[in-house]
Amino acid sequence: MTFKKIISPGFLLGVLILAATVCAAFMAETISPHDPYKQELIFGLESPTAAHPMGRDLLGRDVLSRLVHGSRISLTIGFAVVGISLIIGTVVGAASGAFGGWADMVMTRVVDMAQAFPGLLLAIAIMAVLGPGFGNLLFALCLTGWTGFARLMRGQTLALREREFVTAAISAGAGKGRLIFYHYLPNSLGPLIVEAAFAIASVILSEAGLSFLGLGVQPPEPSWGSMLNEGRPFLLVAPHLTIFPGLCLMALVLAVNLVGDRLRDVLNR
Amino acid sequence: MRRYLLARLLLLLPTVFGVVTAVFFIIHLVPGDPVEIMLGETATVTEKDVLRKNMGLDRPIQEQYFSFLAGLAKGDLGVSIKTREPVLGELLSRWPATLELALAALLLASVFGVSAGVLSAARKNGVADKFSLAASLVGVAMPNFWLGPVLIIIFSIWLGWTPVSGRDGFSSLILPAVTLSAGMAALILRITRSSVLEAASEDYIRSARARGLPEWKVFAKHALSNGMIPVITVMGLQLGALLSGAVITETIFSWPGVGRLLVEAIESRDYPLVQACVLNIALCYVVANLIVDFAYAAADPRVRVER
Repeated sequence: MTFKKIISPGFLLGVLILAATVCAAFMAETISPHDPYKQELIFGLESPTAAHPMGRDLLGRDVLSRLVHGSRISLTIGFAVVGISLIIGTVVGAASGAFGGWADMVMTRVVDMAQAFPGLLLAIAIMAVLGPGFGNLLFALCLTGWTGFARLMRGQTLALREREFVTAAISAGAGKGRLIFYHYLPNSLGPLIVEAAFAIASVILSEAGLSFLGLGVQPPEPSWGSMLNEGRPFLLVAPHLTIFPGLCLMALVLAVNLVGDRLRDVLNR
Repeated sequence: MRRYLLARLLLLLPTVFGVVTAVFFIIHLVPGDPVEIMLGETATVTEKDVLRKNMGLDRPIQEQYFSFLAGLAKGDLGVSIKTREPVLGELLSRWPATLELALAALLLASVFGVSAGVLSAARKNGVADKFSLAASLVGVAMPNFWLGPVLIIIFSIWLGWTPVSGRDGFSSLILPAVTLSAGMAALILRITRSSVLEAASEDYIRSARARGLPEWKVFAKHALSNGMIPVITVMGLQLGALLSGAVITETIFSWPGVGRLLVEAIESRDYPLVQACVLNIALCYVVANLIVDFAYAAADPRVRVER
C-alpha cells in the first residue's frame, strides 16, 4: 500500500487540521498571544477585539490563548487513553482468542457486561466517585475504552486461527506467544488502526463532555469542555465563550473522523 | 420466533445481574472515599464515622452487597442523603420527562436520518447526496453540549421562538430534542445511504426490474425494505449514546429528567441517588437493546433461525 493510495481531499483536510492542532499543542507557550492564566477582571466577558480575537472570559483571560493551551488536554487524553486501551484490549483479546476455554469465556462475559453500559455513563459514574482530575479522567476513560479493542482483536484472532499460514506455523511448532506476536497481531493491524482512529474522536468528545459536566479537568487548567461549561451562564452577553471552544472541538473531531474514514476505506478494503 | 424470544429473555437475567453488581462495586470499590468526598477534607473523623455508619459503609463489603440486592428485590433503592426521601420516588417522578425527550429525539433522528439517507442514495453523487454526506460528517463531529447552547443563542435569544430552558409544553421540547437527535440522525443517514445502495446492487433488484416493476416500486419495496435491517441495528447501538447524551442535554436545557437528576446528585454528592440513577439508565439501555433485538429478529428471519 502506497501513501498515494490513502490521499484524498477529505484525508488531507483532516491531516491538515490535526497537524495544526498538534503544532498548537506543542508550541502553545510560543504561539499563545497572551498568558492563558492571567486574569484582568475589569475586562471580563469582553467581546472579540484586535488584541483578543476570540474575546475574554469572565476573569478577563484571553480565550484564544486558553484554546491553544486547551488543545494539549484534548490531544493528550485522546492519544493516551486510546494508546493504553489499545495495548490492554489487544493483549486481552488476542490471549482470549488464542487460548480459548475458560479464559475466553470470562473475558467475553466481562466485555459483554462492560458494553451493557452506555460508555459515557460508566465514565460519569466512575468520575463521580473518584472526583475530578486529569489522572482520574485517564483512568475512567481507559476503564471503559479497552473493551472495543478486546472484542475486535478476539474476533480477528478467531478468524486468523483458521487460516492456512497459522496452521503451518502451528505444525512448525509455534507456541501461543509466537502466534500472537508474529501472526495474529501483524495481521490485525489494519482494523486496529481504524478502530483506534475512531476511538480517539470518541475519547476527545467524552473528555470534553465530562469536563463540561464539571467532572473532568479542573480550573484554572484550560480544557475545551470546561471552557464551554464556563461560558454557559453567559450565552446572552458573551456568546463567543461558547462558540469558539465548540468550533475547535468540532474541527478536531471532524479531522480525526476524516482520517479514520479514509484509513477504513483503504485498510479494510 | 417464540423460542428465540424466550432464549433472549433468559439471557437478559445474567446481564441485569451483572449490571446491578457492576454499579454497586463501581460506587463502593473504586478508590476514593465517598464519605470524604461528601463531607469534604475539613470534616472531622467523628463526623465521617457517623455518616459511614448511617450509610452502612462500616459493614463488610459483601454484607453491604447482599443488603443492596435484598433492598433492590423489594424495590428499595435507598434513601437520598440530601432530601431523606426514597430515591425510587424521585426517579419515577423524573422518568416521564426523560422518556418524552428520548422518544422525541429518536423519532426526529429516524425520520430525518432515514429520509435524507434514502434521498442521498437515490440521487447518488448528486448535489443532495454531497450535501447530505457533508452534513452527516459535521453532525457526527458536533458535540451536543455545543449544539445546544448555539441553538439557544439563535432560536431562544436572537429569534425568541422557543424558551431557553425548562419543560413547559411542546415549544420547550423542540431544542432539546433537536440537540439530542443530531448525532444519531447523522449516523442513521450514513448507514441508510450505504445499506440502501448495497441492497440496490443485489441480484433480486435486477430480477425485480426484469419483471417490469416500476422504478419507484423497486426502490421502495425491495431496496429500501432490505436496506433497513442494518439501520435498526445502528438505532439500537445508538440508544446508549442517546441515554448518555440525555445527561448532557438535560443539563444544558435544565430539562427535569433522570439525566439532570444524576448531575444534581453528583453535584450534591448524594451517592445513593447517583447509584440509583446510573443503575436505572443502564437497565433501560439493556431493555432497549432487547427490544431492538426483537425488532431485528422480526425484520430478518435469518436472525432467529441462526441463533
